[in-house]
Amino acid sequence: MNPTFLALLLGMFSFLLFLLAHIIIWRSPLGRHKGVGLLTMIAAISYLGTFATEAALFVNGKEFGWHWWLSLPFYLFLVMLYFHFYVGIDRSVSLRIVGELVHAQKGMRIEKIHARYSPAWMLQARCDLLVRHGWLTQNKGAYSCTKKGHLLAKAAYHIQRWYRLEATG
Amino acid sequence: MDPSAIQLSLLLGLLASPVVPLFHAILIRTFRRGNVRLMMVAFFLYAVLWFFLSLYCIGQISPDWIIAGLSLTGFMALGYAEAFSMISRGFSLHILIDVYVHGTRTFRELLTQYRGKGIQWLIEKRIHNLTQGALVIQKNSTLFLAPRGMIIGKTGNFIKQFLSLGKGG
Repeated sequence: MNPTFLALLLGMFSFLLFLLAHIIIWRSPLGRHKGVGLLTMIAAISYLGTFATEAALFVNGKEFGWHWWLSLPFYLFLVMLYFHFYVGIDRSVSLRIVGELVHAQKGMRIEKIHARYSPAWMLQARCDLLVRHGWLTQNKGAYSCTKKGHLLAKAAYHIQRWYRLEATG
Repeated sequence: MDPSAIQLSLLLGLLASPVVPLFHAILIRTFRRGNVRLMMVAFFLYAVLWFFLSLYCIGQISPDWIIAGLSLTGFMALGYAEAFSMISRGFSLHILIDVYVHGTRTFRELLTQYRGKGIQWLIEKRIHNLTQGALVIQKNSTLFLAPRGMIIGKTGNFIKQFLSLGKGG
């Protein structure tokens, strides 16, 4: 078999292994830890799984890991493509709205969408997350940045200014 | 398969990657808009630069180094797109920036003055974009799904259910 094609196959095999592990874990009790961090860990281990499979099968009679330079970039590209898809599905507000409308046979009033997707609930959830992960502190009802929150916000603020980004969201 | 050509292609892809934010920022400042098309143009320019640099250094065309290099440039481009999306649209990051800019912010201030427009604006903007994108039809104050929106909504709901992601957003 052509070595280039074989290397790409191994990359694809790693990706399918990653998808399988991802689905199994997400649907298991371990799925309560679901997030991009765990997904990254699964991606790393899945590629190593390819090496284990290669060692077991002694593919093509070549030296161990010969395919690395081609299969790994290809695999990383596929994984990054999937991450985009996954983050979009998981976090897209627009997709959430469209998903709500699927069940509304007679349409849905805009006020009902606002009620279901309460701005206060959205904001509270994010603020709680930021406090929990140490980016914000809360004191007498007011939020302020922690040291690391200050650094990140400052960097992001200046990057926005460099790109001349207006308010989006 | 020539590992040294692949390695050189990957190295040049990595070294050339800083041009993506540079090209993107120049395009945004030149055309005074920040849409996705300008990012695609920046990616294309990056890929072209990588290709000609690699061809010059390697000296001959071969599918190995082209596939490896394209995979890496694709990976870098997608990574940049994700980072840029977070900087320009990330809800949590913008809460952090809002707090940073003002020193402290109460919940009420964040709710009504988020990015100068309030959180309510986030939902209104998305509804506007969904109608512009012909996924949703608005009749008076009621939203209905267009056929395309129904397909996307049902697919999104199925995937979220399959991966136990909850409602998302």
